[in-house]
Amino acid sequence: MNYIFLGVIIVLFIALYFIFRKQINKKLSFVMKGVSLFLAVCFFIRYFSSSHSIFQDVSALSGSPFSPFVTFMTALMVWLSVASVIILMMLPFFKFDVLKNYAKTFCLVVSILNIGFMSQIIYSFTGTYDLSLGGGFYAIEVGISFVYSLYIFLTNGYFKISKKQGLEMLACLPIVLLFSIPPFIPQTFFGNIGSLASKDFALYHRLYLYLCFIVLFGLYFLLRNRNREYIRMALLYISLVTLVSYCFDYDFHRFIEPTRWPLHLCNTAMFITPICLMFKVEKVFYFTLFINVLGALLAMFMPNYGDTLGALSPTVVRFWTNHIMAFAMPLLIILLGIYQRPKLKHFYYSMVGFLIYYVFVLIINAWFTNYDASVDFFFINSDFVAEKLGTWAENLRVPWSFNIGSLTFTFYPLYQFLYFLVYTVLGLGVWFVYVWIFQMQDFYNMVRGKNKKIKLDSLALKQKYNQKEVDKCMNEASKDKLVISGVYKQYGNNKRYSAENVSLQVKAGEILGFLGPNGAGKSTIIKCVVGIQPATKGSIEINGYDIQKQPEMAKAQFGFVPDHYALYEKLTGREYINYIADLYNVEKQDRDKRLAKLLKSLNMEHAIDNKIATYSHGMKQKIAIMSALVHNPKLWILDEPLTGLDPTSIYEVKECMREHAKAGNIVFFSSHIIDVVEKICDRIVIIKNGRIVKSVTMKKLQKDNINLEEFYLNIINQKDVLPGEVEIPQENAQPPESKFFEEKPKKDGWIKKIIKKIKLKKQQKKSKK
Amino acid sequence: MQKNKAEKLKNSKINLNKFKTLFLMQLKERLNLSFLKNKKQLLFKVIFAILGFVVVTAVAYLVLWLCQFLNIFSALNRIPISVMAVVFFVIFVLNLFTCTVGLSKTLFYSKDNQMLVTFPVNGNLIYLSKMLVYYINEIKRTFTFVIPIFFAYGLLSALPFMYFIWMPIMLVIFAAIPVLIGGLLSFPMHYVLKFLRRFPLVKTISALILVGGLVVGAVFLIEAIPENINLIESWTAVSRAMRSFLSWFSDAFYIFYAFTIFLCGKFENLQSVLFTEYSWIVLLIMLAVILVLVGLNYLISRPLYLRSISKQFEFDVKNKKVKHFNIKRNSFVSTSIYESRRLVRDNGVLSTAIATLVITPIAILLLCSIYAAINTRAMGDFFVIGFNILILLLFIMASNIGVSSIYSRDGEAMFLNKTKPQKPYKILFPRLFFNSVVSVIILTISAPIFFVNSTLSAGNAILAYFMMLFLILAHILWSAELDFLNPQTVRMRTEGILSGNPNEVKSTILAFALSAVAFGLILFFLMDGGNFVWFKLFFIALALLLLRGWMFYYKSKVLFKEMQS
Repeated sequence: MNYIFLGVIIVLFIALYFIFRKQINKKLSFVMKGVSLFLAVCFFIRYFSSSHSIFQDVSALSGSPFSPFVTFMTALMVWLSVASVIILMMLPFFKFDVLKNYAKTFCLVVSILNIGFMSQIIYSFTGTYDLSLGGGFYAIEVGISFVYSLYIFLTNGYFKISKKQGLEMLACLPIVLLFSIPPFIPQTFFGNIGSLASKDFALYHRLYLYLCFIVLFGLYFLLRNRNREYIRMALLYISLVTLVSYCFDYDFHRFIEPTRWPLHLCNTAMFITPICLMFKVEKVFYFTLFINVLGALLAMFMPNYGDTLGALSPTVVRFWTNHIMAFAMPLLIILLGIYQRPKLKHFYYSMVGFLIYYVFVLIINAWFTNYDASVDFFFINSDFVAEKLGTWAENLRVPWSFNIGSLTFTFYPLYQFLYFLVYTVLGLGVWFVYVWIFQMQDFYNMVRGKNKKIKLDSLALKQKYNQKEVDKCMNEASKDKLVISGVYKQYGNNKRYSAENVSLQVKAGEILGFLGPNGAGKSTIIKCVVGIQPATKGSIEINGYDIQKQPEMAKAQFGFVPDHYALYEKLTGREYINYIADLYNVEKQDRDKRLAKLLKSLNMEHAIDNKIATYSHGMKQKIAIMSALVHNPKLWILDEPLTGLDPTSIYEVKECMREHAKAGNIVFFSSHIIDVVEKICDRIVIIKNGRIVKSVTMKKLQKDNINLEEFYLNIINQKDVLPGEVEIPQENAQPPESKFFEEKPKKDGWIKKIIKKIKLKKQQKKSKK
Repeated sequence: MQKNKAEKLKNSKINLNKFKTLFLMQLKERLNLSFLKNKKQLLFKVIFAILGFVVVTAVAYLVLWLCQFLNIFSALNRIPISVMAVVFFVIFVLNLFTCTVGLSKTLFYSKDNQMLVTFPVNGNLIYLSKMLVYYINEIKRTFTFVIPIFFAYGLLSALPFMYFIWMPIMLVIFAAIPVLIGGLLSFPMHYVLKFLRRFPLVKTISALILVGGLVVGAVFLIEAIPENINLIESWTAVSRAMRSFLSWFSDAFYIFYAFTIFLCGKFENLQSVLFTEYSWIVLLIMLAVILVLVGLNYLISRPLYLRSISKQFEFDVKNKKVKHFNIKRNSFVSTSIYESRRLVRDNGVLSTAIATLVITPIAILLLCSIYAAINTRAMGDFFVIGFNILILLLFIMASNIGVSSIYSRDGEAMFLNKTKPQKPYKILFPRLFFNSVVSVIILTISAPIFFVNSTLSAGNAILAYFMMLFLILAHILWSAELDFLNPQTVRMRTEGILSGNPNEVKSTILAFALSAVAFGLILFFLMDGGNFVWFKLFFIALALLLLRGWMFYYKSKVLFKEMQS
């Protein structure tokens, strides 16, 4: 009889399709949504028409009226049909290939198999092979599923699935299958392993707790790179299939029993989560985020099922499905960015929501106890929680009763007030935990983003220069040169640039003096060149190596003397230089030779084996110079190296610079001592307010008979560039996007709107006059 | 002439505006008051301060309640006032030591002296502002520990409401005494340190004598532990001994006993009386002592301080004339060696390492001797194992807290590392070598003492050893990571020391948390039973180490180049 009904349904739907094909194709999306909703209604009526499931008592495929194979297949089909129906329901609402591919393959196969095992499946939940309400609606459900998935199969390229799509389907398979498991499946397949109750942190209790965190972290890591809509789809699927699992022993009759109403805090989460994913109901969501998550966590630590139940019994599995979802889903929704991170006002809303819920549950408990003594929503009516806390808590349960008509209302004012208070304080603690989690998430997202950029930069560099190895010189054109191109530097969240569009080239054999007033950006540029600060924009190439993309190779090309001698004072001069030479991998022979020469030219032979802490300022500066030259760098950068040195030392350093440039190297230095710059530089560059304002050779100055000091002061005193720092162009001025405490543009209230209108009218009148 | 006199008078007077500026500047630096500007931060800070107060009070209450419940100090089911006098005395001695060391550092070794002395202010103002800043810091410390302990005592003994107002005020005033005595003692201490620095041989001999004495004393005490301790049987004798000690203390250190009565009041006919006829006398004596100490500081310590800050004593080290040669090493080995040299040449680091190396095995030996003398059941054995591992981890991890400022101690040189042609982890990682090796040595010496005296099998002992090693190394990596993620070079530049370094605070919390979690897990798994207890612990510790190692590598790779002071 069921099969005949099914056949009629299938034929009817196919016929309807062919009759109204044109109209359907015109309004395909609308029709598909209609079919999906119709399927949902049929599924709902069928699912709640009867709760009699033969699988409640089946253990390890025995105990059912079918053979083990048929039992296995029937249970499997019940399981897979839940996944299949939910996928088909969601199909017209999300435009993702993965859903379509699942509909045309997985759902089609499942609906065909469902047809094969339809009698057994109907028997499994109705207890009869005859046509019944549940059986009839199941036949409609299977018929629609079959026709619907067949239509998708025929109109979407049959089995044509790209390799990428196939892999994506495979990756989604654990989500599709694991979360749709009905609570009786583990016991049906494996028997009730775990004879000990899963409580009091015994092995199975711990395993379930681990599973909770595996689900949370697993889903987070699986979905974090997807777009928001995709994440919403995945989470909605999970929340719907788990809701179906949670409701497996509900039927219409059971809703009459007040104790069975899903009013426990964690039960409400099962319904709230899919609603929050389908519609934007912020206040409800933040209630579940602050209240349900905490409740679920506490409940998972103190499960309220019986002591004799096995670890895989349907009640236990159902409890954990419910609580893992109540705990993990709101967290995933917020961490994956479906809802904005909460503000303090959301916390207040949730607390008001909690107060309303608490008062409601208090009244319901007191009222319904008249009909069923076991009513105990949120565990505030019984001594379930008090018993766990000890006698002192039980002593707080002083009853207070009154009658309204024939009904007796009993409350425990002190206990119930303290219960509320403690939960509210814990809720406040949750706020702080969330703030900490969000900070952690932001930090790790930032780190991940930067790591991704490093990888992409390296790939881009390889591609740009024909797949060369990263440790090879990428740009032959920049060989023997220092090339700074369009460098911008911005510190932290400062909206202004300390260096803006700085471009410069220095050739081998050249000594370049970098001049500018204090705060002009000299040190900033130098810090960018040597890698102490990364440039915000632009590139710096040293002897053909990019400092950002090939940092190690680029850094091997230069030696740097900072503006302050930053040395390890506990080491001797020799130890320090040897340490630096080791970092540059300088051979012993080379370092012996170079060090001997430097010691002589800088007159440091007598002090090299003394501790740096005992040196004078000049001696420390000389050690810094020696350590910068020990590897004979192509580029020697000095940031105000002559400050505080005596005339002899200045002379020695100058000689060193000359010699280094003569050997075909670059010397790049900043200084305030104009005389020295004038004497030894080949070229000077003047920087002001973060921009290079002049670059001129000394020969030209000498030819034009211009004094450098006057020239420099003229340039610095010109007012063509406004003093202070330079504004950022608008496209760069945007602060980084932050989801936390994200502000919505405030809408005007109706009073403000009226005032605005009046003002506008007044202005219009004035202008007319 | 008269004009000159007036000017002198003007100079000798305290310029309140300048003093306020000087004081607030140093206070902001010391207490990091930036949170005052941000309402949210301020709220968090207040909430955490209250929580901290509540937690310390709760712990103190619990301990005192246990003592009262077990009638340890009195059969009258309450804590005698003499117990609080002992507690107060111990805290005072510790405070005195901390203040002396702290003030000698703040007054004579702080780098900000060089800057402060150049300001257009009277030298007296600098001295006064430094002392006042230290006093404020001491008040903060009083609110962290002393007041919560007395608060707990007040709650437990149901003292009158007035006590909870009177006691904090008096303790705040009293906090000036250790600061002022510390101020007086800091100068001789500074000279002793200077003397020892000048004569390293004397320093080494003194250190050896001190360490040797400690070891001999400790071993002597451990040997004195009876072979069989039965607390239940010998409880009457122990209890009597404790009470007679309290009685002796009340007589011998009457000042502290009297002051504690002044703070907490007396029990008369089972009724608490806060103010006695002697209260006002004690108050007057306390104020007089403070005044005398202020005077002594002004007359003795202040001029010595002013004289010392204008002298430079950093370059007193004698230069050696031994010729050395250049040696080429692999960059990893080179960094490890030079870092180890620097640390060995740092008195603080070396003395911490030696102290841990000496104290840890002795502590373990002491614990094992006590436990061996107590007849324990299976649960007792579990606790013995847990406590031994807890103590080992706490000692060694505490000695590694300095790692959380290992890079910041370089000052500006830290940022120069970024200019070197090496991958970040190759520069950062070898610097942890010294602490890791010292930790391995301490663990390798101390752990066998525990293993020999425990019920652990050889296989489980090896697993336990590696579990501890992994946890210690994970703590080192974690602490080092804290430093390069949030370097404290600015603090180093201004103060020359890293007091109140937030990374050190975090590292300390980590050390406690890791040790406590390890202790909890050991007890939990041992009670849970099974054959794989130590395998589980081994793998959990290994997983943590691998995670921290990977995090260290990953974060250094991505964030090192962006590190800023």
